[in-house]
Amino acid sequence: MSSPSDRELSEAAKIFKEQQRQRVAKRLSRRRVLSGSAILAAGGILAACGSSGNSSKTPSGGNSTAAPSGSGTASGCGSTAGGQIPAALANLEYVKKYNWRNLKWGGTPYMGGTLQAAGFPPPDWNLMTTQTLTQFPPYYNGLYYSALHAGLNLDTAAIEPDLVTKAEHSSDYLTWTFTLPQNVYFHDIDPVNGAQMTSADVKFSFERYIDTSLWNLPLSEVDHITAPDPYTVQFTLKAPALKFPDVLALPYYQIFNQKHYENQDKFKTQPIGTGAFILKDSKALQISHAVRNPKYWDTARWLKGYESAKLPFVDNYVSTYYADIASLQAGLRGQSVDCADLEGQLPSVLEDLLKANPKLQVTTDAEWALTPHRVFLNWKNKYFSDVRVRQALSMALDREQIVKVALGGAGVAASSPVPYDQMGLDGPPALKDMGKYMQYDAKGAKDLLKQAGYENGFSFTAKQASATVPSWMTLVQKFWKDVGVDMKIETTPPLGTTTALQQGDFDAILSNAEGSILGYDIDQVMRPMFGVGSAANYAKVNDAELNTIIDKIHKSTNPDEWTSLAKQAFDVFNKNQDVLYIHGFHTWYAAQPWVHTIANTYYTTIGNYAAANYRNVWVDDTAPSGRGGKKVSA
Amino acid sequence: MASIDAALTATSALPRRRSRVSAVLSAARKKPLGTACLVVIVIYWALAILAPIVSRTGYNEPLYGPPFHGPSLHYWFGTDDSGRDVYSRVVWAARTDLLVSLITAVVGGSGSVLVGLVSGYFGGLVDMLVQRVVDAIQALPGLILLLVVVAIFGTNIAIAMSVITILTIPIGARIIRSDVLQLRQMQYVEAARSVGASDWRIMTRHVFRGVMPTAIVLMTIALGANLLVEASLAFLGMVSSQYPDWGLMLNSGALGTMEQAPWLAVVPGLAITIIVFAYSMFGDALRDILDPKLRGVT
Repeated sequence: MSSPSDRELSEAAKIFKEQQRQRVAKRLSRRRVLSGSAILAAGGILAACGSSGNSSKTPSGGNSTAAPSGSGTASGCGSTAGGQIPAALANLEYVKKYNWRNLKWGGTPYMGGTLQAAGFPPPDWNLMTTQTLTQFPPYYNGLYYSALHAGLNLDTAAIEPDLVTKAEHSSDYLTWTFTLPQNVYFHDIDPVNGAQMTSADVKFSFERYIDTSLWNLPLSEVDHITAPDPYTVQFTLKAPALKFPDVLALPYYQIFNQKHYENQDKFKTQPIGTGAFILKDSKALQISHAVRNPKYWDTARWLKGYESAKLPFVDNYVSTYYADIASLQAGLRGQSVDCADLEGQLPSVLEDLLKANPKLQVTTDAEWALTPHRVFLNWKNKYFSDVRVRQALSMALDREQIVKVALGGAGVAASSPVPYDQMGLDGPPALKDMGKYMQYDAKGAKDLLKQAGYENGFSFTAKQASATVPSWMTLVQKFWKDVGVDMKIETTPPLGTTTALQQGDFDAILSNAEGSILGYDIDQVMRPMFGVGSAANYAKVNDAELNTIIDKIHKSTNPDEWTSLAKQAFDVFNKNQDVLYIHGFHTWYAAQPWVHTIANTYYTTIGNYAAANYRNVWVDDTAPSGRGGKKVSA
Repeated sequence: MASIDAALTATSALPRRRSRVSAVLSAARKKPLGTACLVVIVIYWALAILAPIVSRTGYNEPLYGPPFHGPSLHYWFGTDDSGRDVYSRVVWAARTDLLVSLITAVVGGSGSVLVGLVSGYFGGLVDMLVQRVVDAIQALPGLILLLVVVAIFGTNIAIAMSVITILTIPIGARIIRSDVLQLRQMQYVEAARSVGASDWRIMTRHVFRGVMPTAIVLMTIALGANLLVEASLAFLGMVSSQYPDWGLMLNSGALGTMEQAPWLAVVPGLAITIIVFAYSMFGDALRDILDPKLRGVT
C-alpha cells in the first residue's frame, strides 16, 4: 500500500476538520441534572451555549431556519442503530459491552399498556421552586428537548425542537425567533380547560422563569421576550448566543398557562401542560400515576412506517420511588419495575441483575466530565493557591487505580469539566494524553511539594456530605498520605458541603456533585465556576491563563474557534489543576426486555434529563400481568 | 471459763463469711448467661484496647486486598469497597463505639445519681422543680432531638456524645429518686439525722451507698443503650469521626452493597448486636445479684 500523497492528506484533513465542526455544532445542552441546591448558587451563563441538533442547518452568520421537529439529525439507524462504535469508546470495556447500539431500536410499536418506571414523585409540582424538574416533562412541553428515539445516532444526537416548528437567529446571534405549532392544547383541567397554547404562554412562562424560578440563571442574558403574533415568539439577548436552543432544551423550562400560574394552589399540585401524559395522582416520594393525554398533538414522526401513530404509546405511566438500591434491584428482579436509572452503581450491581435476568437491557456511557468526582481546593488556603501543590496533589493520585477500585472500572480519569466532544473528540481522551501532572508519579509529587516548601507534607480537613466516605475519597486520602499530605475527612449533614461551598468556608470539599453548574457547554460551566468574581467560583480560582480562554469562549460564535478554545481550556486545566478532577463515572440504565426506545447514552437518559421521551416508549405484549400494549398496524 | 469456751464453740459453729472470690464464683454459677456476657464484654474491650496489635492493618488502609472480597481464610471478614480489611476495621471501630458508650453511660449515670439524690432527698419544691425538668427532657423524642442538635451544631462526635449523655440523665434520675425516697425513711438514716449529721453527710455516707447497686445496674444498661444510639446516629450519617464506627460501616454495607457484599452489613451489625445484648444481659444479672430483693431468684 502506497503512502498517501500530500493532496490526499490535505483532503483528509479538510474532511476531518469539517466533521469536527459539524460535531461541535450538533452538541446539545448537558443532560445531567446534578446538585439542585448547588445549581441555585451557580452563576448562570447563557451566552454561547450550544447550538441545537439542527444548528448544522443554521450556519453561523445570517438569518437561518431550523428544521421542524422530527425532521431529524438521523443517521438512518432504523431498527438497529448507530453503526460502528467510535474507537475512543470501544476502548472502554463497559461502554462497548453495554452500548446503546446493542439494543434493538424501532420496529413495530405497541399501543396501550402501562409503563412502571422508577422515579421521584416530587414533594410538589411547582415548576418555579422544585428541585426535581426531571419529573415534569411527561406533563409539559418545552421549546426543545433532549431526544431519544430510533432514527438518531445517539453518540452525536442533539436536542430536537419540541414546541418549535421553525427557528431563526440574527447574524449576530442576539435575536432568536421561534415559530410555534398551531395544534397544541393544554390539558382539559380547570382553570386552563384545554386552552390552545400560543406565544403568549411561551412569553409568560419564560418571563416567570427569569423573574421567579430557582432555575433562572441560564436565562440571565435574555434581555426581553416578545410575542409578535400568536405563533411567533422572539428572544432578544444581551450577549450573542451561538447555542441558545440548548438552553431552551433544559428540562426546567416547560410551557404553562398564565391562568394555571395565577391559581397557585393548582400550580403546585397539578401539572397542566401540553404534555403527553395527564397526572392523576401523586404522593411525594412514593408514587405518581398518569394517563395518556387523549388530545396530545404529536405523532411518532421519527418511526419509519408509523409516522402517524399518535403519541404517547402507553396508556399509563407510573413512577415509583425506591429509596435504596436494594429495593430497586428487587423491583427490577421481580419485574415490578420496567426501567430505572442506576447512576453511580458499580458494574457488579448491573451484572448481578443480568444474572437474574439476562434479557435485561443495560446501557451505559462514559460521562467523562459530566459526572465528575473532584476535589475543590480553596485557593484562599495558602497551600492550594500554590500551583505546585495542586500539581503535586494531582500527580500523587493513581487515577487508573482509583477508577479500577472505586468505580469497578466503570469510569474514566478526568481532568477538567471540558466535555470531550467539545474538543472535537469521539470519546474521552486517554490519561496518557492529559499531560504530566495527570500522570501518577509519587516521587515527582514529593519533589514538587519540596519545591513548594512542604517537604514534610502538611495536613488539612476536607468536607464531604455523604454519610459514609465513598471509596474514591478513601483512595485519594491514601495516595496523598503516601506523599505526606494528611487529609482528614469531615462528614457534614447532607447539604453541609453545599453551604460550605457557597460560603467559602472550607479548605477542601470532596464533591460528588456539589458545585455543578447547569448545562453542558463549557461556556455555561466554566465562566461561573472559574470566572474571577463569580458567585459560583467556590474554590476562588484565579487563573489568568484560564480566564483569558473563558472570555474568548464567551464571545466566540465560530464553531472551529470554539473547538480550539475548548482544547486550550483542557490543556490549561491539565497544567494548572485549578480544581482537582479525579474521574467521571459511567452512568447506567436498566430496562426490561419488553420496554422499547429507552437507553442511557452520553446525552440522554430518560430517567434524568430526557424525561420528555416517555412519550416515545412502548411496552410490548411480553410484559407481565397483561401490562403490555397491542401491536400497531403499519 | 466454761462460758467462754461455750461462746467460742458457738461462734465457730456459725457459717463462715464467704470470701469475695467465692462470692463471685457463686454468682457466676448462678448467672451463667450474665457470666458469659461478661466474658464477651471483656473480649470486646480487650480487642479494642489491643487493636494496634490484634488488627491486621491500620483503621483506614485501602488496597489491602481486592475490593469486595468475600470472607476467606486470608480476609476473615472480607474486604470493603476500597479493599480495606473489614476485620481490622471492626476491631478499630470497637474503640470508637465502646468508648463513646462508656463515657456517656458513666457521665450520664453519675448525673442521674446526683439529680436523683438531690431530688429525692430534699423533696418538696426542689423535687417538684427537678422532676418537671426531667419530665420535659423525657418528653422530647430522643433520636429526633439528637438529629436536630447534630443538624444545628454539626456532626462532631463530641456533640453527639454530649446530647446522649444529657438524654441518659433523666431515665436514671427517676429510678434513683424512687430509691432515695425509700432510703430516706430508713431507720439508719433517721438515726443519722437525729445525731445531727448534715444533709451532705447523710446523702453521701448513707443514702448514696444505698443507691449504688441501682446506679451500677443503670450504667450497665446505659452502656448498651447508648452504644445503640451512637450506632444509630452514625448509621444515619450524623456522627463524623476519623475512625471507623460500626454504625457507619453498617450504613455503607446495608444501603449500598447489601446484595453484592452482605458481609459489609452483617459483620458490623453482629458486632453491635452481640455487645448490646451482652451489656443488657450482664446488667440484668448484675441487678439480680446486687438487688437484695432479687437475690436467690434465678
